[in-house]
Amino acid sequence: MDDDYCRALVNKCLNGDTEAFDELVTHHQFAMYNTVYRIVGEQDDARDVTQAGFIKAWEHLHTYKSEHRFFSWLYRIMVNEALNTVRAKRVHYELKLVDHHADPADRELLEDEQNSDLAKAIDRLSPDYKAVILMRHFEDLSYKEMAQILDIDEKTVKSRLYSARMKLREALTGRSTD
Amino acid sequence: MNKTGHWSTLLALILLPLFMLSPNRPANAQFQSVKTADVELLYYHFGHEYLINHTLRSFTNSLYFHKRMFGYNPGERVTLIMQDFGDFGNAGASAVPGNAILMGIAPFHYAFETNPANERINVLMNHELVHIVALDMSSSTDRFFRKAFSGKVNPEKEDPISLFYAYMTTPRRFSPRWYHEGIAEFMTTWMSGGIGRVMGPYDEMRFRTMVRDNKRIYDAVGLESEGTTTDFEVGSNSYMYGTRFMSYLAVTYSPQHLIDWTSRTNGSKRYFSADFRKVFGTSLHTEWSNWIDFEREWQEANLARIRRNPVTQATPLARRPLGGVSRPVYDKKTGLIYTAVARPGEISHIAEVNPSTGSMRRVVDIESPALHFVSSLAFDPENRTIFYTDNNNSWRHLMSHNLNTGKTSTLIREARTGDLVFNPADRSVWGVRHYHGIVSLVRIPYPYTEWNRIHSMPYGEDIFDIDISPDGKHLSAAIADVSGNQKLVMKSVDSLMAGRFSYEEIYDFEVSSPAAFVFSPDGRYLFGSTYYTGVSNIVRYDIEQKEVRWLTNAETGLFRPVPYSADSLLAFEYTGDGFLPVRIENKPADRVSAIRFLGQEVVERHPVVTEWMLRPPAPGTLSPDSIIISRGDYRPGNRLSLVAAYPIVHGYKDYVAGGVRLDFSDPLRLRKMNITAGWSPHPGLDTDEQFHASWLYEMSSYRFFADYNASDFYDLFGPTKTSRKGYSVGMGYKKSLIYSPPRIMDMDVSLSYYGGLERLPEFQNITTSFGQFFSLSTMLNYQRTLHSLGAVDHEKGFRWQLGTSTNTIAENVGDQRIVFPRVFQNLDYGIALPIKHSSIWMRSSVGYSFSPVREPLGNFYFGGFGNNWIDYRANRRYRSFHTFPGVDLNAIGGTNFTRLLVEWVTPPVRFRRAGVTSIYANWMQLSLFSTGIITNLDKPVWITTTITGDNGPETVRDRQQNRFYNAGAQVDMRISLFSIMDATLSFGYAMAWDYDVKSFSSDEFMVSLKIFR
Amino acid sequence: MDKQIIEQIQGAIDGVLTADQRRELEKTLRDNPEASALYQDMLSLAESVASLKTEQPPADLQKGIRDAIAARSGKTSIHSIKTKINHTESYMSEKKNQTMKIAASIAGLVVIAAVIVYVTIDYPQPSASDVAGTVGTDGVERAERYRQTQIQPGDIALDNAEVQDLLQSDAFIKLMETGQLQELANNPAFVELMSNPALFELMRNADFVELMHSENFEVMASAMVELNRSAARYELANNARFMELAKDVRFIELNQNEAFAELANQSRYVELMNNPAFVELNRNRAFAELAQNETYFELLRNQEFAELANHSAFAELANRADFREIMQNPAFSELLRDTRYAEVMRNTRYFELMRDARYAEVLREARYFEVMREARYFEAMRNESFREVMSNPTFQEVMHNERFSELFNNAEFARLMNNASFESLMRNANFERLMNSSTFEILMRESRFDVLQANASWGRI
Repeated sequence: MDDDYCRALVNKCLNGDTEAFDELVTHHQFAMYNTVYRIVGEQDDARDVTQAGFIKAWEHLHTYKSEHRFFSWLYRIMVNEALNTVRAKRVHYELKLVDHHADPADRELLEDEQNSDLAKAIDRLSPDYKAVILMRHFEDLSYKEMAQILDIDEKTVKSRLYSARMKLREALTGRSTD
Repeated sequence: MNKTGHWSTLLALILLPLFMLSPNRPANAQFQSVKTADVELLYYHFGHEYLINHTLRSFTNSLYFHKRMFGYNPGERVTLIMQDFGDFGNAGASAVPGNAILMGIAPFHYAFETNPANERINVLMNHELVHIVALDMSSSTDRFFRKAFSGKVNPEKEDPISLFYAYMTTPRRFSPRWYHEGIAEFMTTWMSGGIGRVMGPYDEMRFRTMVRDNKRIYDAVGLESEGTTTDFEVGSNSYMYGTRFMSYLAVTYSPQHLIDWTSRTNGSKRYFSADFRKVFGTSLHTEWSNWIDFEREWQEANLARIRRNPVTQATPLARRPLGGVSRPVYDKKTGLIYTAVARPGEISHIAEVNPSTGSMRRVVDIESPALHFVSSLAFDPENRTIFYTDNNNSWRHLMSHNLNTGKTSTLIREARTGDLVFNPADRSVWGVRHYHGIVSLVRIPYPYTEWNRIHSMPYGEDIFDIDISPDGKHLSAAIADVSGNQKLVMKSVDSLMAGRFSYEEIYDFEVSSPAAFVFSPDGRYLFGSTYYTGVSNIVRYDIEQKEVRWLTNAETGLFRPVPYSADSLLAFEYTGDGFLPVRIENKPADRVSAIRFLGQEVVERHPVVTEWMLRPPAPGTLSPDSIIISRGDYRPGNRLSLVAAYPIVHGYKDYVAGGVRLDFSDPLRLRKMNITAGWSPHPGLDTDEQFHASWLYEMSSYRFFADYNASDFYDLFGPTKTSRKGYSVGMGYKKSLIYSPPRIMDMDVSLSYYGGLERLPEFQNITTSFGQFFSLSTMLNYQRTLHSLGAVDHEKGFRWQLGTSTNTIAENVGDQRIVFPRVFQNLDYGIALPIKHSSIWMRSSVGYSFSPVREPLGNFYFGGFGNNWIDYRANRRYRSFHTFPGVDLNAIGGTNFTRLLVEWVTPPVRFRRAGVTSIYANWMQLSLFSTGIITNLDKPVWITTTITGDNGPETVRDRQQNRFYNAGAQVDMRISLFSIMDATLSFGYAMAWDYDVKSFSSDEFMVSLKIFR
Repeated sequence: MDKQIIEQIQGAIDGVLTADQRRELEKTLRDNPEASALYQDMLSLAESVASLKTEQPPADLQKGIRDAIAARSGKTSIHSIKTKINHTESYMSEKKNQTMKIAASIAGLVVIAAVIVYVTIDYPQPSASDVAGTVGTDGVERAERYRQTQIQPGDIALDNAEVQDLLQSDAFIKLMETGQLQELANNPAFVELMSNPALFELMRNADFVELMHSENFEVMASAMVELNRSAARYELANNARFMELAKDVRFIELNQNEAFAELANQSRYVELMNNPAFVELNRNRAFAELAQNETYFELLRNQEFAELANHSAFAELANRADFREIMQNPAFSELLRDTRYAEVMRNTRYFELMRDARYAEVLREARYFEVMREARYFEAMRNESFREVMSNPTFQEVMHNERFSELFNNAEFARLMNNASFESLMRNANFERLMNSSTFEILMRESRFDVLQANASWGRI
């Protein structure tokens, strides 16, 4: 769904057309749910937080400025909701590997072994480091978009991203760079 | 009590502790816990919460530095306890059984610039974590033994074999205090950017004075045995000597050598002095004597620098130094000076000094003097009343003493206020209060029953050494900021009363302290002292001209000036034995010389130490929220865990038992539990006496215990046996009623059930009449005993004890309950003799039992010294009322008694160097005593009865009343083992006589090594 | 490793380098093994993170959103408002937090800059070499002591330092030592009241504070306590009309009139006052003037007057203009039919009252009659302490304070007046000083009552 079509749907919503909002939800729920899930770590919490994020977006739709991408505006609400939840509970969530295979024998053990170390390393990151890794690597957002979402300048985005990567590198390879 | 009742009581006594152990028991959690990966911070008061995040940042910041510097990898989390038990900040660290730091959040005191003025939590974390590193860092062999014994073994006096295991698990704990304090002070100085003891002017003065007066600089053994006990500097010598020796090694070798010596890495030697030879290639003693030579040259050079300009000639006002001194006050009317003094060999007191004759008079005792500044004094000349502080090492009381009436009174208990000064304008007393780590200027209006807060300084800033101008209009003060800068300022009293805390900065002394500035009688000048030149000299500030002038060029150091006439001042000159009151001229010195600091030599020869400056624990460096794992109540009951498990050897009667001991405790050691189990394989024992077990659980004031065929290590060595056949289970409760040292009052209650006994629990040689009985004993103890600086025992005061011990037979005889209640009282009174550290003590005891004469469970028994050849209980057992040296143990019995002991304790002999580093003697003391005892006072001495035996009627005499007296002596020698273990070797001899049987006399010889202090 | 190389490596991973930058990086990677290792690690990291599996959102997610929005669009349920408020609040507090952080960091930067300027200009930091060998003023040498500044005020961040300043105040400590505050902290009414700004504002009102210190307050407090026990007073306090009238000086003065109090105790008078005719009559000027006339009352009391009415004399009376005017007044005639009027006329006290000018004045107040219809007012008037309170001059001044009526409408305050500790707390000098401390107000409003409950914390371990 391209950005202009999104903007059109938003205008319909502002005129009270709830169907238009439903379509926005359909298009964005996959990316939003996965981002929230990786931050909060529990499926039930992820569902509640995602739902609360969409409801907040509906209630504050009038504050969306069309010159920005709807995706970035919505993404910021979702990340804040997830970070607030994590901070309130301050419990480390295991970043759940997606385990579609009912039968463990079918999995390629070596790859999952590496993935689970990486997942644990990401999980041990502080919420702010985790957010920049997810935005950059899962949503492929630009430095500018990340700066808008997190309400910080691009220089801070780069340094925070570099620090997060160094922590992951140290956790996975044992090598660190002063 | 029928059989079932008997079992139910037993069951209840067993189950009660289990109930107490259950985690969901509604404990009232006093401590709150904040946990990160590296530290668990515990605090108990809402008022301390404001420091939590700053403390976590300082701790974590410091720990990461030490990890990189020493290569230290902490094996466990550190328990950091934040407390405000005293008015002045301090801290302590331990690594056994767990890593723990106890931190006082109160501000430091800056008397004579003995403490740095920069932000203190950052300094304390840097210092205490060096202790944790030096104690906890382990080689692979240490870690092996820690795994083998389930942790770092703490030496337990009940099982001295634990000493060996403790050495195997934490060898560096067995090093002298100067070793640990030296490296900690060295690192703290450079981590703080050069602020610390390595750059300490007081330390330079200390050694400069010893070299000037040609005093002996202690060697490594003498320092610990004599240097830290008889010297007026006492324990602080460990800090000064340790820092000095470490700085010398850093200059001569390199700072890295110190890191290598104090890091317990693989391949390092276990014992600290052995590792010294490995790192430095020479013996510790050789290098220590090299240092002494170096120090003499260093101080000779500094004395030469001072003597380049005319040295101030001060006129002594007393015959000998006063030891530690407070700020003096001057009574213009009588021309007399009053100051609090703390001198070795004397009880601390406020002294009246007559400057014209040099005579001194004791005015009033100070029960709890502070090191260095002793107390804080202020003076109301109109009513000739001295205001002073006592309880100086805890929460200070505000006291007053009227010189006219001699009346002493406590004005405000726990006022927590010092730096007192009297405002003649409205008779108010002003002071500086320390509370929850914050410093507040307070005013105490007449009649001095309450205080009002004038201003609270922001955390980290201190105000001290205040004075008020004679007209009551101005207040002068020293102010220190978090960076350690200090300045002299002046404020208007009216603006302070109106709530405006603006001040005029008089002079910025940067890192040296503007100490004890006071107004001149005409209010024109301020006189004080400062280390600006590296030597403490008296300076004069002209308030109108706004000009500072130096009045002295001292060789050692001049402090605490009191202007008492237009042309001269009183001051205190530092000497090797404390401060000497002197008179100096009120005339500017032409030239004043500077000295060179040993720390400056370190930084110039090895600039690497400038890179050791720690980045500040600023908010940006670390967000506590990102490292805090959990918050909540600290429930000691839930945190009990195994901290050590090791094999033991015990004695049971005359046989040897082998076994194992398990120790449990929570990180704060509020809950402790130990379990021992053993087996005596000797065939001479019945099968039901071969297995031994004991359990002890202590939680705050309560203790629960159970024994089965109790065994004891010390039964292996000597006549006194505490092992008993049979079993016992019980609980005890001990509570402190008054704790305001030296006044202490506590009570102790214990209830036990005994079964299957042969001998009485307290008297090993007396066979019991009943095998199953309950025993309830209570003890109320009140004591007020004082000792002077450097004493080895209490030298005066009194102690009073009231005790009961009631045995109740478990089974009724017929329908009658059999109870044997006993009550006794002890009263000791001591007088300090004019001879230094010598005193006379009279110890009386009386007791009465409501029991038949012959009933063992109802009698008192006396006899013997009671010491085993190796023991851990009190070494001077002849003072205990159960003993009677000269006759056998438990030889004298009775249902009532009176006993009197008179004892002369002679002055101790100090050894300068008797032994080697790992074992040396500190002091030896002789006590001479004589005791008299009468039992069964209500009975005749003899009862004669006629009985018809095989060869007709015979008259038999049965002894009822006993009257014995004895005379004896005991020599006690304090020995230091492995630098941390104080043991006492005692030799005793006594002869006893029976007053009613002239022919009877017996004697007893005793030798005993008491391990552990 | 050089910062610029790191920036280039990260830029390459994130695909933001230009062609020239990429060529320059490749050259660097060839010559710098460490940079090359870093590049490889970051590349494999990026690839493995991307390969982490994703997840399908739960099926019922969209339906939940749809239902929630439908609910919001159709009917605004309390829950949704609360959630909205919470959300807005949280969103707002989120926003407020953001602005607070920005404001705090700007302020922090300004302070640090000011300190640096102050320190560098006025006190030039001596470098290690400067420190050595400087000669101070007039021949006094200064010792060389190496020193760098490791920690500055800005490096220390404390939490709620202003509350710590409050804990240092002698007023707070003395108050805590009395234990009253901790005891009241367990009283929900007190906790509720302390979060009411009205009380704090009132405590800053000099009149109220003065009232608290006067014995009258003693009287008033005990009277109010007794009064509050009566349901009538409690309701009356919530009756706007009564509070309005209570501010009228004349009404208060009237309450000091013995006669009026006596009369108010007469149930018949109460009934009469509910009689519209009597009300009408009382508003009639002529009747008011008549009421000033002594003889008229005497007349009314006079038995013979009843008989007189049958006589010519009465007729004569009737010829009097004012009498006629009254007689034409329907209210008066209706009144006359009311036996209660006669009874009242027989009450000497009524005549005394009729002569009181203030009574006439008050009778012109419409609100007076509204209150007179309040049975509870008469019940209150039977209470002696109420009359005492109403006659207290300071009470009159305080009644003019908006906050007073608001406070007396506060159920918590009414209930709290029965609490002995609250009474003694209100007279505690320290409490009064603390009420002027905004921090104390914050502490109370933040209901940090765990600190007040933890009385043991103030004791030493």
